[in-house]
Amino acid sequence: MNTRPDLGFERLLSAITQDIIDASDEEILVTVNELGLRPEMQGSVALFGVTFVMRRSNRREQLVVKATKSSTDTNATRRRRPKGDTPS
Amino acid sequence: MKNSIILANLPQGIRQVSKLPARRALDAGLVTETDLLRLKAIARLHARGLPSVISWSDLLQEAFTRVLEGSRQQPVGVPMVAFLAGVMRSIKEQYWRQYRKGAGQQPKSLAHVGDIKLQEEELTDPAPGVERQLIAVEAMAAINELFKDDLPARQIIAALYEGLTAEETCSTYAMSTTDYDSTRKRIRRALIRAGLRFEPL
Repeated sequence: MNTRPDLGFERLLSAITQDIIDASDEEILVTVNELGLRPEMQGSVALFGVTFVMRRSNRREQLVVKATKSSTDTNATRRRRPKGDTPS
Repeated sequence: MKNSIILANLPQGIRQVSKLPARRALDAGLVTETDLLRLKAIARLHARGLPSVISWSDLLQEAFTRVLEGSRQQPVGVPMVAFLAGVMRSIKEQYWRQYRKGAGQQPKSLAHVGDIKLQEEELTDPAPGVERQLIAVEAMAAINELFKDDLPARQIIAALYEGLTAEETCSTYAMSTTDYDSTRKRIRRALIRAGLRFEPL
């Protein structure tokens, strides 16, 4: 058959969405437990993106900035070293 | 328990930043925690049909925002989870229509997507663009990959894609009704599991 992809996909989504709506609370909780998640605990990632979001810090960027700064400082030190001196 | 991930155990570089509309709905008693788990799995499914710049969480929170602000009102007799799932579908449809009208210019966010209540028959885009179709093809490939070792599941997914009824599917694939039902349940469980698995936004 030559079904239009977006139509076929939406048909599938409708059917699966209805299945999830119809799933019992018990079935949902069993699945959650299989994943090792504990939604009843505050901050459980089971509800990540739903009741709370988290933002990654820019630690990597900070490290890059720090490394660049450190490299620049080293160069500055080199420039100040008198001619003929050997690095310690 | 052994795989349990708790916020307190996560690195300090990750932190909670705000109270979200879904949290407000939970506090107001509009939904239960289990409803939210269902909606998370549904939002992740629907977000597969959107460009990757739009996260499932954006879609879910936008649906809650519209309900909390009153721009969408729950019809009598429609359960809240089904209603919110419909709002998400409608937002997604409007996103693509706006995208098409904007000649491929993406709306800045879902909050910029118009709030027109579409009737059931209007939820089918009469002229989808190439990008939407490509995303649908990729999404189908990703879903089939989840069931790469489960032929009956892939057969039922193909049948749902084609719009076949349960009877037609059983007849096409020489499948018993019991097998159909148990496979359909397996698909549901697998997609709920995929929808609740932790992934950074």
